Amino acid sequence: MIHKRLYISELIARELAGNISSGQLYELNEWKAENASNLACYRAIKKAIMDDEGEKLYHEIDVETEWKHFYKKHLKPPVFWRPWISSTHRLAIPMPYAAAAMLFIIISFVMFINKPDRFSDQYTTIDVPMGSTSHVMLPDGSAVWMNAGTTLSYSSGFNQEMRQVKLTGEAFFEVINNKLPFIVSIPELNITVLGTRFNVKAYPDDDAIETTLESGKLMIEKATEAGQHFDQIVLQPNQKATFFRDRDILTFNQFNDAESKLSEPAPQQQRGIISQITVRQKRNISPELSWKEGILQIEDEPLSRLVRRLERRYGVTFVFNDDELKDYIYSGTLKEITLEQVMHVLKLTSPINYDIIDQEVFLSVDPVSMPKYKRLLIN
Amino acid sequence: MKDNQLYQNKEEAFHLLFKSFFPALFSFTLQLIKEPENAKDITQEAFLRIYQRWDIYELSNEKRAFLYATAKNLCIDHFRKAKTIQSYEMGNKPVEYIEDNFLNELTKQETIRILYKAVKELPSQPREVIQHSLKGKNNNEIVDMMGISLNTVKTHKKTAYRILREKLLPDIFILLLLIRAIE
Repeated sequence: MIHKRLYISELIARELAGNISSGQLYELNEWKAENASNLACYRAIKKAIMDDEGEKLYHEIDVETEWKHFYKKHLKPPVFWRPWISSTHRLAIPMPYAAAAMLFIIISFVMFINKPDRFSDQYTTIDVPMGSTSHVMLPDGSAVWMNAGTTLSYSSGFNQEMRQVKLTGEAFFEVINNKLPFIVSIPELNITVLGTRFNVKAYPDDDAIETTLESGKLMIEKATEAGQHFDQIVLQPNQKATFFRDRDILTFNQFNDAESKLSEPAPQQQRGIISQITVRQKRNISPELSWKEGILQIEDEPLSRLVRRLERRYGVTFVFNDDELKDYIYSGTLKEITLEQVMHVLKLTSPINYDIIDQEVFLSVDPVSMPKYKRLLIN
Repeated sequence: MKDNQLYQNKEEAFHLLFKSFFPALFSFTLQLIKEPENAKDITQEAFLRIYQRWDIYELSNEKRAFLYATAKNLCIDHFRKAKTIQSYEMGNKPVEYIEDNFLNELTKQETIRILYKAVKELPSQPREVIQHSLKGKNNNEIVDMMGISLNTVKTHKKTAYRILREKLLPDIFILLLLIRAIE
């Protein structure tokens, strides 16, 4: 409902600015005619604009002052961390007080060294933007390969009493075995390990979180409020755990290296085109871990899901001009190629047209080659 | 704030959101609870909540929806907590009043916000012309008020419409994509 209203307010703004298409005007009129409340709402808005309510409102409220309040109350770093004397201000504190303050700083500093966990909310954050990948070494010597659009953060207390990292996106971990447990936290799950190689895929815009174990042992548990009962799975090598966000279920699948075929339930397609891309076959690496080697492995994947991976990998946005394309299913392996090459391969194997304009890729049905593929359509 | 841009820096992105939405969200809250001081607190609280669950990959459209939904829920909580409501001008059922009116209030505040933001960015003369026009003045009235020729008024209007078209386009574009994704 809220989204619909956000859209309606854009339409009204456009209408009032003399900049509305006939289709949009039709939509707006439909909405107005739906009920008396909508019409009253529309009239109230027109009146508010005539009375210049916006001008009054935006003059009355001092956003800068409100921001300062907010910042002071919620965002300002603790006093301890602020520089004591800024370079532009002369030190105006009498000497004895300054000496006392100095002593206090030294004592606090000693306390800080002895009790690092008190300041565990100081985080180091590593951001990998769309279109690139990164390889980082954590303070304990563990290695992390981070996929595009991924954020990893850990506290200043990392490797002191525990090893915990927070992850958004996808990363492959090679954890050094020491006595401290290593925990990967994503909002929904905690993954606990003791020396192992594994991949975690937890992009916020994906339906599912996938954890694939290459070697070692992993424990996965659903993140719940303290003291509550929680779901828990222990993962063995070559197993993958999938957490479905919408259904709130944690499941796991075994897959064989020889086949590299996942028993993940195939998405139910009403209508689609099965297309095979075979540029290069390399079966000894599982699709979950292939991104690390610069390989794009596609396994019976609908285009709607595939474009999300391409968006992250190449830092672009896809726009579907024809929705039916979303259900086309592709398989294949591509290695270290450009976006243009990927799009060309897609075009070669399916009735698809693409335009790359700046950072956007527009997809539409290719009417010329469509008849060729018509018989492949599964109805 | 630009919808299609990803801000690497959480603080920078949040500051922009705060500046763009504070007046609209405050006005929204004020209309629902009619108590200026509490309305300010609720607005600040709504911003704190979005800050705490900040996700740089989320579209600003989702953030807008979250802000309004959170503010509305906080308004309802406010009345549930306050056991005794002395004289409430909207009748004795403030929660029902909020539930019945928040969508219309949201639509109003968002329209004003979008329009005000776009108009504010116009060059001064076309802006003045468009402001008069929004208040329902016709071209001849604008000629009298601004002391410029009818042709100049028309030219300024044209300029304003052209710029507004550009200013209003990206929001709509993202929104259409989003609505399609939801359906």
